[in-house]
Amino acid sequence: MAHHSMESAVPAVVAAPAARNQALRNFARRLGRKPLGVAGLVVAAVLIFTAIFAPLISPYDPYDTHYGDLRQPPGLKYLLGSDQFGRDQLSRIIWGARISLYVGIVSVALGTTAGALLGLLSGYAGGKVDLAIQRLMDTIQAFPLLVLALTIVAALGTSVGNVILALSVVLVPQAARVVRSSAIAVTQAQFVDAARAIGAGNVRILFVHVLPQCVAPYIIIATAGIGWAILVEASLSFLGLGTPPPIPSWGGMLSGEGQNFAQSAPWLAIYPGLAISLAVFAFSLLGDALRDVLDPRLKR
Amino acid sequence: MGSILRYSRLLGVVMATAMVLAACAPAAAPAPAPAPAAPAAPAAPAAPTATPRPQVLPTPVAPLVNPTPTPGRAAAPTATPAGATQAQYGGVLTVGHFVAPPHMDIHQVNTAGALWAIGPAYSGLLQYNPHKNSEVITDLAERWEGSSDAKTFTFFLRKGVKWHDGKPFTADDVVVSINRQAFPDKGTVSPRQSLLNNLTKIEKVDDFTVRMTLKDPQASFIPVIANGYNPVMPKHVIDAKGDMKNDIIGTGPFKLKRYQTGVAVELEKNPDYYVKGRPYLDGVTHYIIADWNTRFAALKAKRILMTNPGTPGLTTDMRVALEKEMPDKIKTWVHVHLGNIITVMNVTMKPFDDFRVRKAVNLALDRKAAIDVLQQGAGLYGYMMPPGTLGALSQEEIDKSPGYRYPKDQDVAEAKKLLAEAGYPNGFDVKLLNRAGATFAPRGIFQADQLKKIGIRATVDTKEDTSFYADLFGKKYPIITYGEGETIGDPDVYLYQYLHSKGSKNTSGFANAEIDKLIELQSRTLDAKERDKIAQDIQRKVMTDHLPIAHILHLVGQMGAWREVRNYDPPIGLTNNLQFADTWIAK
Amino acid sequence: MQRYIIRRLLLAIPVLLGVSITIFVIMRVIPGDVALAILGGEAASGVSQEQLNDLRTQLGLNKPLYEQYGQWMWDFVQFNPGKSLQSGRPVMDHVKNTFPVTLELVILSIAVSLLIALPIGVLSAMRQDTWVDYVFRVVSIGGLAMPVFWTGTLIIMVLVGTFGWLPPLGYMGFFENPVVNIQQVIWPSLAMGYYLSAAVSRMTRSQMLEVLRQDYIRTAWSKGLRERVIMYRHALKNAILPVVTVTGIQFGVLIGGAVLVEIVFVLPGMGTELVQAILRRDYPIVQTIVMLIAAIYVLVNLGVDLLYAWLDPRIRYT
Repeated sequence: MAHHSMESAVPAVVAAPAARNQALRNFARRLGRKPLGVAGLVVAAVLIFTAIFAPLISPYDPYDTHYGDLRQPPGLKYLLGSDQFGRDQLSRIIWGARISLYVGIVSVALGTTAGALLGLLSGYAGGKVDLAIQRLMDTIQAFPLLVLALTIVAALGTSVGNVILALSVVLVPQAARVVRSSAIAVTQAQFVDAARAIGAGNVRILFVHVLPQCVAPYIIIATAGIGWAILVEASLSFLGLGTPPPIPSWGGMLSGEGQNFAQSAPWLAIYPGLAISLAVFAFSLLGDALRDVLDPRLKR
Repeated sequence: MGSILRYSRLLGVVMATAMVLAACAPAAAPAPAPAPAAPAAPAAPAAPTATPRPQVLPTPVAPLVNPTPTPGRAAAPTATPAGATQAQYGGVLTVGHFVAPPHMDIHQVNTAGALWAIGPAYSGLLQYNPHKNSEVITDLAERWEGSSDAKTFTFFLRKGVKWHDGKPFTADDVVVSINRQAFPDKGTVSPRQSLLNNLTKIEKVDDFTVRMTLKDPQASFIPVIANGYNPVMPKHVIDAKGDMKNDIIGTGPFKLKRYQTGVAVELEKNPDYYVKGRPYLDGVTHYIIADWNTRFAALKAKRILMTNPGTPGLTTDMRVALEKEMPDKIKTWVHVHLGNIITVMNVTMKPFDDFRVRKAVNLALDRKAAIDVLQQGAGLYGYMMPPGTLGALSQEEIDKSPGYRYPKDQDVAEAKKLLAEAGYPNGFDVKLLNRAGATFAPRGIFQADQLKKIGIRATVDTKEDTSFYADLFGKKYPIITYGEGETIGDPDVYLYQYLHSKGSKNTSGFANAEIDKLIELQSRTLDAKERDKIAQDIQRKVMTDHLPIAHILHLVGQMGAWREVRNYDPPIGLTNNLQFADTWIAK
Repeated sequence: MQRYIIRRLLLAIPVLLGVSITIFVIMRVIPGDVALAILGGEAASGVSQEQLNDLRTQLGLNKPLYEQYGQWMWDFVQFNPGKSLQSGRPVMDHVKNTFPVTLELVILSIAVSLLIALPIGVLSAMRQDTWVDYVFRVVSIGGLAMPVFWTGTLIIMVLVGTFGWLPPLGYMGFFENPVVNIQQVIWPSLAMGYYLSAAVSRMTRSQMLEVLRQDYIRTAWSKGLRERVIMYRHALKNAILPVVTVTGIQFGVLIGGAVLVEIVFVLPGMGTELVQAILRRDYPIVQTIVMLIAAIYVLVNLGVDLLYAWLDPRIRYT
């Protein structure tokens, strides 16, 4: 990857405002040419909208039980059916968007940012610092992901916060690795030498010159990470250590009632499963399209 | 994926229809008195949610003490199977099992799950009649005698019995087996030691006679001896290896063929079994399948012929589905599980140190809803003693008790009033401990939901097993909702363990001298009727004045087997009827 | 090259050390009492504080932490990872039986994922931005989009619902009984393989796209070579490198997926063993298996890098 020159890869961020607007419009146009990516963007937007406006669009309170309507199939009263406690599935899925996206986005934000900072530091500073940080990343990566998340949640207890923490930790090494290689490539590029030659300090170089080059790969990792985090939360729930009930998370719904009633009330598994799939699809396709657009080597 | 979705949706519609039909199915005949009738159907909810209440209850478990001083009680033969003339030899019974035994030493395990896979290889001095579960009959002991004060029991052992490795069975084996449970040495764990607290000593009288001496008369002593956790283990192996954790050597109808850790326990016919002509089966194999759905699929695909008994056998929906889809192929049972779902309140922690608050919690609980929500219609409710056991309060009395009355408005109103009197007119916030797992987690959620009705806002802390039990026994939470399975349906198990100040499962901190005395009294009372009365009185008093425990449900076990499996009847509870000595498979 | 290998192996030591300390500390920090878990099981009762303490001392849990760690590391380095707290059997027993199961599952899953991913990736790249591309990309992400345990349960439900058939129970090793073994392992491998194929196919696709823009490909075109020859002889060979890397990185994901799939398909693998040991606080088993996985991870990464170097002579190592 280091073979390719970075000269063609001047992202909009460092250019002047007018040029920046133009570049943004270019970006939007290029993205628009990718129908899958647009589809992903639209679905992701819908999901985020659902998450934000959950209290307004949800027909019932997701915690309200209706003991007279246990495990109703989808119908007029409960559009997506009701669960073991008579709670409305649709409301729980709507609120579940809030929880699942919150878990996904926050853990990705935390994990990749921490990873990116470490990668930045590692790639730019080089030498012993690089070596030490690399070893730390390797140590984390040597743990099987699910097992690491499992142990962290088992250690700290099941709660949304701890699940987020566990997922973030697992995401750090990947982000660090990607950002590090970008940082190395940039550091070796000529314009950084030039900047140093005119006396720019390390921090300034780091944030003004090196960082922007790493934005693209960072975005790609981040969007993919959201879908992945949602999946891992579901797996943790399957093992008994995900978001604790009665909080409606898609993963918890799929692994709990979905598994329990797979034979008799399949809607309890189908819809949370669909929701998870939609979210993962959306963010993955979006991530793909972003990579196609942002990765300078693929520009035609 | 589309066709799977369509299929699943179709399945869902079929299931919903099945449930409607099932709700309209005629009820089976109730068991004879004094077994309580199944609880009355609730004021008709929307039809799809009502599944038939289990109607079959076992005859009550009477305490078995030789009340008359006549020596030489006649030996009861080991089970006389009905239709024995038609029994066919051959075949391997495959059973689906939900958990792998942590090791093979039955005396040291505390999960019934471990017991089933290994059970067929062992025999005890006595056993519960596999076909009439309330009756204790003989096994390795040919007969037994009790002294008139019921403090000394003498067991006369069968002669000519051989261990699976060929060595002879003698009284020494019995002595070692009882001693390691009642007086375990440092390296041995004995989870049921408290059941043998009353034993002062066991001595060998001669090679085929042992005598056990108790401090006080104990009405439950024989049931304790007879239950499945108490087989006789070989002295020569224990002496040589220190424990039985890695060996299965017993005197049972089946012996170990192959133990594939985490996968299966394969047992094969014991040709030297002391009951001539048994077993009929060539072998019994327990396959370990943790996932519910996979186990259900395995049963339907006939990879296993039978599921294990107890709640992890089948869910209500699975059983109902089988009854609808394949009634000619698969037979299902519902049996008393001896497991419960309870809410324990710590009487030393605010605000549950106030009896009025505890009573309010009890009043607010809707048991019928619990049956529907938590067990999809299959369950029973009462107080500490399961319906059908000695000391159980009658269903009529239960239905008139505070907290169990319908419609619930009256009880809920009273609960709110009590809370206000106790100083919580606006309720209060509290943390509730709940056990993690797809089966267990809904219980705490349900309890918290019930508390909402009266203004108590409970935050549910759901913890996985190891943390859960640490917090439970560490008495860290003021209120806990969970469930337990028990060994025998006896007041010494239910009343002593949970309500006695020294009870091993008393996590509420409840200690009342009067109740303690009554519990100790019933333990010594030999007359069944008298004992029943005392046990009922204890529960009445606790319900009226103390209520450290609000009882939610008594569980029923649901299991299924292919009809080719003959001559098997499900046990009461989970720890008996393990041997399959009389079971046969029709070709 | 040799110096490179040695250096990498030396660098692996602090990683393994770090892993061992981390897992040791985490397991000790997790709340929950091992002794209670052993004595209690599902229905902890009749257990006195004295019994608990006795058991704890017996298991060496009352010694100071650093002493326990030191003891364990010392034993481990001599290939004696101790005994399981629950069963009393040597940890090696537990690992020895379960490791080959997971290994087979992992290998088959990687094979399945490559079988699915490579053709999809290549075809997607060849027909970039056509509907073929879109369909393939959606299908390949589909594998990623559902939690693998749910895919597994669906597979089982379909097998039983449509065919009334389930793989035979009672796992048999490949060398013990290949027919039964394949029947048992193929389904979980399909579930996992499909799951993995997403990442691999996307990487294949993007690498192929990059390679296809190279000059030497254009040369090959102008020379009139057929598309298939170009694809497989020239393009794929060069695009394969990062695919190999990605597959190596997937290893960590694999163990996680293996756990879930093993539970649903009733395979007695190392993944299930590990998860159960964590939940039961069986420290020796957890520590040993985690160390084993870490060691394998390090070796796999080293292998991948070496393979990388072998495939692309332009890459040199100091």
